[in-house]
Amino acid sequence: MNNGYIAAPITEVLVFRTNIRFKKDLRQVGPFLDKQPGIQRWNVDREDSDKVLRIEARHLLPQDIIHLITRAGFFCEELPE
Amino acid sequence: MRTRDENKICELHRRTVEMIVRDGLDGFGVNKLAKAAGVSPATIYIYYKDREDLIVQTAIRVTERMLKESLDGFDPDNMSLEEGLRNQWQNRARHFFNNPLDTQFMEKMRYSHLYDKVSKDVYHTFKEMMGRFCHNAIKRGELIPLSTEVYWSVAYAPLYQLIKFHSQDKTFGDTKFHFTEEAMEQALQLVLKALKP
Repeated sequence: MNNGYIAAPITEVLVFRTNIRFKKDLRQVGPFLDKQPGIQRWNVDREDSDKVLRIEARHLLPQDIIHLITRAGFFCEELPE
Repeated sequence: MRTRDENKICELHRRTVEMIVRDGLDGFGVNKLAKAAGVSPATIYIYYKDREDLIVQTAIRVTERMLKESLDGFDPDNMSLEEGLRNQWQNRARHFFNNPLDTQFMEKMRYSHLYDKVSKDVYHTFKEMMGRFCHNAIKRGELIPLSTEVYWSVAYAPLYQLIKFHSQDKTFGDTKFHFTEEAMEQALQLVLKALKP
């Protein structure tokens, strides 16, 4: 019998320091993040001095994001735990 | 797996209130909070979407606690106008004296564009109960029908002014005013006299 239980993978929160400062920057990186499989939600805290990129994702490594953002032309490093 | 740590969240809220009271909303940042609370900014972003979310969540928690304490022992259906108002004055004064930082924090929030996001839902039950209390008092002939604004200005503003005098270093001239039960009761009696038909 199917009890409806599905072992859902755990969503992880990944956070990065970036230089994504303006709305036009968001328009530049947005499409890359939207297209990336595994990313469920993302946002940039542009009011914070670290311009923190916050990502809720499954099965993604911080390196994948850093690679993606760097390729889009922005600085990106993981915030230490 | 990262689990939600309630103690950590409480501590973050407490520090947020402290820092915003001290440095203002503009002077508040996730980095500064992280340093003060001894956690990494990454930890804070696990719990909150961004700086704004953190401030709004903190204000909602502070408001909910204030409303809960304010409804302590309050019975809108069975209390007379005098009993109900005395209960409210006592509860609100007690809350203020026990949580002066929370009150100052909410003062700062009230003039910020974020306040709408806080007040949207939290006041629902409170407003309903206060409305019912007034409605009952009017029905019993204990209260003049008034607009909410006029009612509030007469019913509560005197209490808040006394609290304000207490918090200031000086009131008129050089003397300091100390909030007392007697002063509160005296003002309450005048308020009741004004509100009764």
